[in-house]
Amino acid sequence: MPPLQAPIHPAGPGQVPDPARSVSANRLSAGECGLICDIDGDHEDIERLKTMGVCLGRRLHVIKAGDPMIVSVMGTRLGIAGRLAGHVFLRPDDGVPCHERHQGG
Amino acid sequence: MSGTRADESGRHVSPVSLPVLPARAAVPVTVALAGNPNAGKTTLFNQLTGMRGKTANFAGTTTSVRLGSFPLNGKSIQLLDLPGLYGMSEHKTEERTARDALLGKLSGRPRPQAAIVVVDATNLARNLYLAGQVRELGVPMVIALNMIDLAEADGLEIDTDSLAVELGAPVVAVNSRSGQGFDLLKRELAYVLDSGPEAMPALPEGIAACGTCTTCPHEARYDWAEEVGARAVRTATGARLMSLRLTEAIDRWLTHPFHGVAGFVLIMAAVFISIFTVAQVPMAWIEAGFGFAGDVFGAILPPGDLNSFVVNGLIGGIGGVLVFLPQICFLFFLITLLEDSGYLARAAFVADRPMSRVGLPGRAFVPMLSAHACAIPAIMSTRVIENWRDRLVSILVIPLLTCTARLPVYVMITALLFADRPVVGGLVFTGAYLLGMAAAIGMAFVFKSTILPGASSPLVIELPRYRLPSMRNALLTAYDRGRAFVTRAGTVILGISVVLWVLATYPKLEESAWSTVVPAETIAQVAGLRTAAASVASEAEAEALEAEVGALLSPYELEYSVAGRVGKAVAPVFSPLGFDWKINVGVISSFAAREVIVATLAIVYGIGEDAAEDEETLSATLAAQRHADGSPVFTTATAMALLVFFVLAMQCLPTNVVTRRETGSWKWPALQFGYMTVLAWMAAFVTYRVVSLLA
Repeated sequence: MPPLQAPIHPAGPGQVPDPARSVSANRLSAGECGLICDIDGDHEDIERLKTMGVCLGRRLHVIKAGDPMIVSVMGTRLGIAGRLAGHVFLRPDDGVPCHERHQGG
Repeated sequence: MSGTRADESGRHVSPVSLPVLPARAAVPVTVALAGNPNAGKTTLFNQLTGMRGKTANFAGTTTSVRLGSFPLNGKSIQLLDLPGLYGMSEHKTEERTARDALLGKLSGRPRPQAAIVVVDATNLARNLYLAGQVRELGVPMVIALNMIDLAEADGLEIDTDSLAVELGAPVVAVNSRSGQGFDLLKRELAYVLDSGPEAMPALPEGIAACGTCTTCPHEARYDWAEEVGARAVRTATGARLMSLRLTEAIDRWLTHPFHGVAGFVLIMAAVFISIFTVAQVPMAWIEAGFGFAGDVFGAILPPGDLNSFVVNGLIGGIGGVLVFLPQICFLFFLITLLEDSGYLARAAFVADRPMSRVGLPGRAFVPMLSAHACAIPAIMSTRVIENWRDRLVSILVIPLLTCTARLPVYVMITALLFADRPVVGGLVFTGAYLLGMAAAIGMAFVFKSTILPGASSPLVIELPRYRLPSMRNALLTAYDRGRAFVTRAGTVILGISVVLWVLATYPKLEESAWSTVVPAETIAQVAGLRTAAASVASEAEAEALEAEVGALLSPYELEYSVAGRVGKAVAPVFSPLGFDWKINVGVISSFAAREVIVATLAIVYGIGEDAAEDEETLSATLAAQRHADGSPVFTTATAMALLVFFVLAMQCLPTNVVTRRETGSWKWPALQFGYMTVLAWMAAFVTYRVVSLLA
C-alpha cells in the first residue's frame, strides 16, 4: 500500500476520521497513535519487526518521532529506524486519545 | 557372591556369577531456558547454577549458548541457556537455532525434557508470545514469572493460577536477583519432568488457532497473548505510570539528537578512560608479579635452555596473556552495568544513524569501543549484532582499532623519534589512534560495497525500562568473560609464545658455527673475556664475565636461529618499507602479542631484554643503529613506516583464532589476516616514500 500524504487525524480532533485512510508510521509525530493495518514487504527485517510485536492489529503509539523513532507496542518501547517504520501503515482506531490507551499498555 | 542362598521356594540354588551390570548410567536431564532479551534470563541462569556456567557454540552454528547445571532431587540437571528470543521466527538464525534446540534437531544435543520460560512480569502480554510458541512446540514447560518485585512495585497483581490454567503450564512468581520463588520453581520443574509430555493439557485454543492463519502468523498469537495477559493482570496503579514516565523523561534526554549524543559521548568516554586508568592498577601488579617470578626462576634454574624456556617462553607467555585480564574483566563489568541499567539499548539507538553511514549498525559501537582494549573480547561481544553480514564486517575491521598491545610499540617509536618534542610525539600518537579508526571505518565501507554488500540492517531495538543494575550480575559476567578469554585466547597465546620461543632459540649457535655470523672482533672480545674469567679468583666475578659473553653473543644467537633466518629471508618483502632483517625478526616475533617486538628489538640490537623497559637506553640504541653503509637504520621514514605497519597489520594470531571460533570457518580469519597485512604494507610503503621525500 503506498504511503498517503494525509495526516492521521485529517478530520480534526473529536471527529471520526475515515478508516480507509492509512499513513506510514514514520509520518506520525510524537503522541500520535493508530492501529497497524498493513505492513508491506516480507524482508527479514520486516519479520523482525513482526516478532517484536509490530504486527497487524496491534496498537502503535509514537513516543518520539524522527529517525530512528521510538514507538510503544504492547507496552514495550521500541527504537525503530525510519526506513523500517515507513513500511508500517496505521489507521486511527477510535476517538480515544492516544495517551489514555498508552497508559493501559 | 559366595555360598548358597535360598530362593523364594526354599530351594537352595548354587551361586551363579552373573555379569555385573554397571549402575544405570544417570542419563543427564536437559532443561532449556528461554525468554525475551531483557526478561532477566541471565540473572536467573546465574541464580540457578551459581558460577558454574560455561559458554559453548551449538555444533555447526555460530549461535552460542551457555551451559550450566544444578542439582534437583539428587539428579543433576543440565541447563541450556538459549539466546534471548522474541519468538521462533524462521527468518532469524538465532531463533531458528533455538527452535531446533528445543526440538532436539541439533546434532550433539538431546531434546530438552522441559523448558523454563522466563517471562517479564511487568510486561506480561509481550512476553507471553514466546511462551505460547514454546508451548506450541510441545515441550513441557514451567513459566518463571520474573521481576515479580518490580511488578508488585508497579501495583500489578498477577493471577498466577488462572495464568497457569490458560497456558497449561505451572506459573511461578520469582525474583531472579534475590532468589525469591526459586524453591517453588524447582519443585514445579521436578513435577513437570516427572510427569513428562503425556501429562500436558491440550493446546490452548487461542494458540492452536494460529496454525491456520495465513496473513500474519503472529497476529493470532499476539491476540492470544494480549487477551491472556489482560485477564491475568488485575490492577494497575499510578506507580507503574510513574516508573514509565521516569523512563520516558530520561529518554527525552538520552535519545535527544543533541543531549542524547552528548550523553553518549560522555558515558562512552568515561568507560574508555576508566578501562585505561582503573584497570591499569591491577595490570601493573600482574606485570610486576610476573617480572618477579621471571627473576626468581631465572636465578634458581641453571643457565641454559630450560631457564630461557621457563623465563621467556612460559612465564613471559602467561604474563603476556594475563596482563590484559583486568582490562577485559573491567570492560565487561561496565558493559553489563550499562546493559542492565537499560542504557546500552539507548547507546545503540543514538549511535545507529552515524554508524549506518559507514554501513554498520548502532549495536556495533560498543564492540568497537571495546576493541581499543583488546580485539579478542570485542570480537566475542559482536554477538549483540543481529544481522550476520553486519556482524561479519564488524569482526573483520575490529582488529584495525588500536588495542592496548600496540601502545608499547607506539611509545617506543614516538620516544625514538620525538623524545625532545613531546607535543609532536603526542600528535603522532593520537594520529596512530585516528589512523586505526579511519582504517576500520574505511574498510567497513569497502566490505559493505564489495564482498558483503548491503546497507546495515535497520534498527529495531527494545528500549527496556531504566532500572538499577545488579552488581552481582556484572561481577559474574566479568568473571565469565574473563575466564572465556583465558581459556580461549590464553591457551592459544601461550602456545604461540612457546613456538616463537623455539623459533628464536634453535638451532643453537655452537662455537664451531661462530664464524658464520659472529664478526671477528666480537670473537676476539669473547676470547678476551673468557681468558679473564679463567684467571679471576672469585666465582661471582667469573659469572659476571660469562654473563657479559652471553650478552655479546645473544644478537648472533638470534640471527642464527630460525627466526633470524626467516627475518633475513623476508628482507626483500620488507626492504621497500625501510626495514632491515632485525626489524623483520621483531615483526615475526610479535605474532603472539604485538608488544613483544619491543623486547625482541632490544635483544636483536644487543642491549638485552631488561633494557627494553628503559625507554631512553632503547631509543638511544635504536637511534645509533647503522646499516652496512653507515646510514642510520631508524630514519624518521623507517620508524614512521614501522609505526603505520603496526597500526594496521594483523600481527595477532590469537585474534585470528577467535575470529575462527566466532565465524565457524577459517575463510574469514584468512581474509582478515590477508587484507590487513596487504593494507599495512601498502600504507607503510607510502609512509616511507612520502616521509623520505619530505625529509
